Amino acid sequence: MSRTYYILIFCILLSVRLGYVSAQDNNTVKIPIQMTIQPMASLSLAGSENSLSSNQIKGASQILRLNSKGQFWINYSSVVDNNTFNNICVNIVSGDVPAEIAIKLKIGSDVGAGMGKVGKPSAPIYLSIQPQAIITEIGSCFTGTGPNKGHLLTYSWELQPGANFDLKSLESQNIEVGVMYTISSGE
Amino acid sequence: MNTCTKFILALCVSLLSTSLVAQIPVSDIFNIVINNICIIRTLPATTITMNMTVPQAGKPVATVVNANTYLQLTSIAPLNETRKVSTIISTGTRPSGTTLTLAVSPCTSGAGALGNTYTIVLTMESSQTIIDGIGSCYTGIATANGYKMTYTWAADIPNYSLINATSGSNPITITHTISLASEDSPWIDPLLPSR
Repeated sequence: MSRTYYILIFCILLSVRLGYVSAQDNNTVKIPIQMTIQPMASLSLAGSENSLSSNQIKGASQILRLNSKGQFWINYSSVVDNNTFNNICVNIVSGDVPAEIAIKLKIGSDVGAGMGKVGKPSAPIYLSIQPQAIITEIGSCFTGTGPNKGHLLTYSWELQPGANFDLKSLESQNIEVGVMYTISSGE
Repeated sequence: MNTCTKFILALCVSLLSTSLVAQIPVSDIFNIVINNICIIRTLPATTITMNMTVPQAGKPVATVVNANTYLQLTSIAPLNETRKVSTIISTGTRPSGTTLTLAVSPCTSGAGALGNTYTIVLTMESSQTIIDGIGSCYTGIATANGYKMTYTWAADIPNYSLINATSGSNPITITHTISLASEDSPWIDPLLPSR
């Protein structure tokens, strides 16, 4: 008889104990959150009177003409993996330029309208069909959008030594050069 | 039967009758117990997915907002006792160069002392109060009942260079805890045996 009572008391205590534990569980609630940032890079050109392509994912193109304004801005955004970088390269994609003419591109520093690890400008280059890096070591950053944001690019047409004509005489020829700017990972 | 035996029998009968008389005016005593209760849950109880992208070249990553979940609770508090809900990033790491903010909207469903709500920047280091002044109340259990939880994941602009792309997705867990308002120790039902 007394054994039955002991079992009964044990069961009551056990149920109280179980009830206590489950009440504790209800005092907290956990929310899982999945956070994702993909690596990404995009650029666009601004402040140029030249016809520009619309904002593309990885690049933008531009038509350079002898008589067009020689300054414009490059804007970009970049998110990188830890300790990797993006670079911006430029190359000629269309048009014929007389061998006596070179197109020089000067790259300014970022004007500081954005934030983050913006890229470093290279020394002036002469455009060619081979891609050349003009802004390197771009980390996670943004430059801001539109004119007066990002880097100022200035191009100029130069006659090579020994050319037997001047640039003015070429203006009637409507020389056009298509140039492509691309942003991609550094390696 | 001798006299002594008769006397004892009479005594027994008289004692019995006394006890019977005592049994007659029985009054019913009702022990009404309202247990301490404080339980919380979220609805829907699913994983929140947040994905950062750049809307336009030159712009920073766009802020991601999730306002789909509601915190629901039922609380029966002893007199003069209030409860609070506090929140922490309990597992995982918030992606560097970003902030995760939780804005709690006041509860407009249910009834009772539903308390005051706050907006906090979630951290991995310390628990922060998102609701306090909770007395006896309930929020309801239907969809959109309870306190609306708005999670905002944004670039921490001054620390933008610290942003790294996540390899795959970065999982974290946020834990909400309801406890006594006066201190951070978990609430213990005084009716139950202490451990």
